[in-house]
Amino acid sequence: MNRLQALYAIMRACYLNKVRTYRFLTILGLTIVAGYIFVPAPEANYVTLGWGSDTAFYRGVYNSAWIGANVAMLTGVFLTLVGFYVVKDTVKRDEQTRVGQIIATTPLSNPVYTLGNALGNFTVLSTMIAVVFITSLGMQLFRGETFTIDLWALMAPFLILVLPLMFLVAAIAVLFETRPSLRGGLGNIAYTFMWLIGLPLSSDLIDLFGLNAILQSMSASGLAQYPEIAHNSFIMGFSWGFPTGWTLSTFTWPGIQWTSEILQTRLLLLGLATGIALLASVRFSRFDPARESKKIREAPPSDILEVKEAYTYAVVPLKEVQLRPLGEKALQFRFGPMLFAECRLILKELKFLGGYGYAFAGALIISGLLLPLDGARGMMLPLAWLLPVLIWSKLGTREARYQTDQLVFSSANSLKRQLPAVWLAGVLLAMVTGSGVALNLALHGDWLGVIAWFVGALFIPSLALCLGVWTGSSKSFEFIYTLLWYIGPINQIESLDFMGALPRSVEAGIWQYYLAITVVLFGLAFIGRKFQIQRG
Amino acid sequence: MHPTIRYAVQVRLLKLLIENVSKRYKGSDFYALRDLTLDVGPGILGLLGPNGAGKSTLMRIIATITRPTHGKVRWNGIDITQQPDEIRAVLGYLPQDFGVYPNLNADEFLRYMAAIKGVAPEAARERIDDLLTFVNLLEVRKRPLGDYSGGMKQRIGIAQALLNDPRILVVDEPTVDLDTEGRVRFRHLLAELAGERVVILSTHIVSDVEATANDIAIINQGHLLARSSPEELLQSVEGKIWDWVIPSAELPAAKQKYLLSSIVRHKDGLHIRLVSETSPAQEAELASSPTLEEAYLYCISTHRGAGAE
Repeated sequence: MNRLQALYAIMRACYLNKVRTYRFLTILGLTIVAGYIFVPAPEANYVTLGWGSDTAFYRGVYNSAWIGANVAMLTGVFLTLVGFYVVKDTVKRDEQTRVGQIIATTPLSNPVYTLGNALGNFTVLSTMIAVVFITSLGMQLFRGETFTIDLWALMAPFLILVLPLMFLVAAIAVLFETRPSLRGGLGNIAYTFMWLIGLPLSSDLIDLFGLNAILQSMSASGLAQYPEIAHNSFIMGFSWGFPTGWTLSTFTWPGIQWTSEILQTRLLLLGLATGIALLASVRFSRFDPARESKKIREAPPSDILEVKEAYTYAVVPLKEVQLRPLGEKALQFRFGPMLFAECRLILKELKFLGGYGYAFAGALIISGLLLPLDGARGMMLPLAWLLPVLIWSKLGTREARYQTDQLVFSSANSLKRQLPAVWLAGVLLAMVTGSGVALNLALHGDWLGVIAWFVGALFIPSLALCLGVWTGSSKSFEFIYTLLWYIGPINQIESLDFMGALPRSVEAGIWQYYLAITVVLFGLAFIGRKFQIQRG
Repeated sequence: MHPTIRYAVQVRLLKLLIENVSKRYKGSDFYALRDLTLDVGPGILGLLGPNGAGKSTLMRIIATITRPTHGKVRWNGIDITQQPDEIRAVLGYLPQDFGVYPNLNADEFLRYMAAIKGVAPEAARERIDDLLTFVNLLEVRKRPLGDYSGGMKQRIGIAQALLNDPRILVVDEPTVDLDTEGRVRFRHLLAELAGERVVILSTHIVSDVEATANDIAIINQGHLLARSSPEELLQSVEGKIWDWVIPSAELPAAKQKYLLSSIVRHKDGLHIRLVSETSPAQEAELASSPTLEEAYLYCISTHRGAGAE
């Protein structure tokens, strides 16, 4: 088999493995929904692209060029984040299915493997792009502002702007997967931050999303017809809350000429992505656990030998082993030991943070207590509740992740016993890590703040448990929580302040909504786990 | 019902009844089990069958992990497809494939499982000591399970299945990763446990069943082919096992025509043992003592295709 054939085989397997799942069908369904909401109706109370003030909004007529560029740009921005989570499980799958060990014994080279998987990821993301494109075509007809279809104008932004970006995402996903430190939750969070920081930087430094040329051209068309646009704010993304009576004005944007400069940037992006995919092959462990396991690497040789020695154990005569029967009294469930066992499991998982992690958590608790109240709740609380994100993200997924589901779910009443214990352990973790701020609030007599804090402590594990149980993956919580954490408490968006970090959100009673959401999330987790236990 | 009374009733009854159970997996027309009926009482039932026969599906149904598409499973008269907790409280289950939490050591993992199974902490401590001694992991009880070999993990699986002193023990291919000594030890344990509980041992290793089971069920392609004691099963091949010495060149023809149970090369040719209703040749001799493996092979071969859909 030559390299091209091997590359094709890897890419094809990667693609088929991902698309032949119900999960992917759901993703495609959501993609269609996204394509729909990216093109709001004139009477909708939100906008996605244009210039606006409190009383007026300006945008292009929904022709092929505008819809193509509008949907493509928004897809590019959002799919660079979401797409990463969609495709980042290729190498992991080969590892979990142990197919990787078979692949490792073939003549297939590392660069072909990583590049093939990056291409496989790319084809998956391209399928999603194709679906968005078809949706946007439908949206032009559905909105019906003009029925003249210019297929190239509609398609070009997807082809030229979005697809190279998707290849970059596909390659970064493989790179992250081949680096043990970035493979897990830490990598997921790191990528989200990369995206959050990279988004504003990209328009200033490198035009990663290809927005500049299009937006300049759109702006010029708009200004030519409505000079007052210059005094309005540019809006891209979702903007809600326009007061009733605002006016909508449209202008015709014919699209842009795709200059060689734009094309060169996109080619550069493709080259960069290929480079990243190949870089992923450097120091790729090739599914050799000895090259990956930190424990094995760190253990002194004598330790490893000791384990092997234990494996070839001495025979203990059978008569020495007597299994004493358990009395009936010994078999009465108590919630305390169950909760204790769950807490111990959590503490063991905290181990990855090491001594510094505990020290950092301790420092956050103390500074949360000693700092002035606003600083404590606005800064220390979000930090304290970011630290355990990788532990919360395992709630609800741990059984599937470690294949202990059959053992746990075949135990009596695990739904009523183990699930609440898992949840409560997560709540306790939040309460302990955020205890400094809670004490600070109590000392200042801000009891409403304490309640909001407590709701936050209930909300986070409920979100984690619900997402974990229903998605079966820790990625969804890591992604959604980090995003929520950054946009809400950090960027001080009141409605997303789920932890009571902002005094004004506490006063506005936002916590009441989160309390209701918490109840719903826990209920959903309960139902989801019930399905898991009674599957088949 | 008062717990003490229920416990007493369960000890007295100990009866698992599988009634016309079929299992079809979602999105497929394939039946892993079809109309299977089996009643099991105290003692060891060895469930034999080739790979893909439906053994693990049956095990998962009994362990309440999977629900049957049709039919009922009753534990002491209670339909556990509707009330799974009735059996879960007294169940010990060792799945064919399972994992452990790599950051926990043996002691911590078993304590965790004990808490889930509702074993009181004090009782669990004693029980875990006994079990770790039994599965010979006492020395490495403080090592993270992530460092354990496959065989050691399997022994942890055996220990967790016995944590709650189960009334019904369902073990699916329990000896696969064990070494010879571990296998012998496990067989002894099963024999020791069997008197006071229902043990269902699913395996494709006939010698495991031969050494332990007082009752055998053979399934293939989702159907129950045979249900008998080991003695009855052996009787079924009485007069059908032949010793025959043939030149090497004749082996392909013999393989095609007969079901061979063993081939040993000697100076005078190949000594083969085969299963046949009639003598394969004049010089062939009737074997004095058929093995359970031969009886099993005979059963499978005579029913081959019978259950095919």
